[in-house]
Amino acid sequence: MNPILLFALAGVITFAIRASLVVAGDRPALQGVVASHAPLVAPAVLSAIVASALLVSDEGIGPADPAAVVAVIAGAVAVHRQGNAFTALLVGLPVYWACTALGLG
Amino acid sequence: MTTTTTPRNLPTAGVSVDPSSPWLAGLKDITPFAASLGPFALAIGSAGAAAGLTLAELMAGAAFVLAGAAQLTSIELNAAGAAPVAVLATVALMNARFALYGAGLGTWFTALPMRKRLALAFAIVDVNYLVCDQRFATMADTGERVRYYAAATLSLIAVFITGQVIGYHVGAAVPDGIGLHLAAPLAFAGMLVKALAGRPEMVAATVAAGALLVLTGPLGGAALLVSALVAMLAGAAALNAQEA
Repeated sequence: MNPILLFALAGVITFAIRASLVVAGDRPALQGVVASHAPLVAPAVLSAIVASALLVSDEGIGPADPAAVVAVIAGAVAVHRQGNAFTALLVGLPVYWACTALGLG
Repeated sequence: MTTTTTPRNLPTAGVSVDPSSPWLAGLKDITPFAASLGPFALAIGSAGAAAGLTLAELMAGAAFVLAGAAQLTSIELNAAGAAPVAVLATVALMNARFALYGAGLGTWFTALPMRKRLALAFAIVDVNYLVCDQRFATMADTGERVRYYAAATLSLIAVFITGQVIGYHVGAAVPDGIGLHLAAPLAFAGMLVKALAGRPEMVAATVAAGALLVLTGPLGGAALLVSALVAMLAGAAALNAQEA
């Protein structure tokens, strides 16, 4: 299939997904449910994404790249201590380079 | 470098801005995350070039899908000769979490007509959702929220597009060992730590990670969405227990 057509269809699907609960959430019966659960979206989704990136690979469940796991943990600790989310990148990448240089990964 | 205190300790870029300007506040708050997105965009551009896409095709993917992980996956699946239906189903599964963001976005802009809310929802992604969700706790005016959201989102899109163009042209020259693939997980981990405001959020995060590991085998690509939904239910239970 032509890549532009494929991406256009993917875009339509993605927008439908984005719009689905905007429309459904407008119903009074759902507004309370949506409002009470909205603050939990970020921690739930982000945690699943990070776990998926670090612990799921073609080989199965487990740390496919230990250096990446160490780097992300170091980055998360740095954010917890410094309070700045960008610190994760500033600390995590050098830790990753150090771990790979030491043969971990 | 000077920093300023922002609601719920949002990261700052070290620039002095007029806090009364939603445009500048949005730009300032999103800058660290946009910088984190840059390496990921480079990787997508590089993958597009390696897959034989033209720059116009790559840009179409960026503009239509507006979601890095799904775009990268669709590029790789298409290049590998996967059936279009399989590519589209994978994109749907990967982006299913955006429905949850849409629900949150709907609560921010209840004063706007539906067509405007839908227009704003076109560009909701992980990063601008989290940044706006934190900031809007202390920003009640709808007009200010729209300007803040627009500034943050347009900045992200600018980095996303520019990064892909650069990656398309020079990405192959970047050594693998630099860890570009790790930029997105690191950025998300940083945002996750910032999102852990209390016990319900910590319960949700813990359950999400555990559920994902358990469900990936049986559910495959759907595991992420199901894990997030299960985690939100667990977090809501913790919230109810806390309030009881």
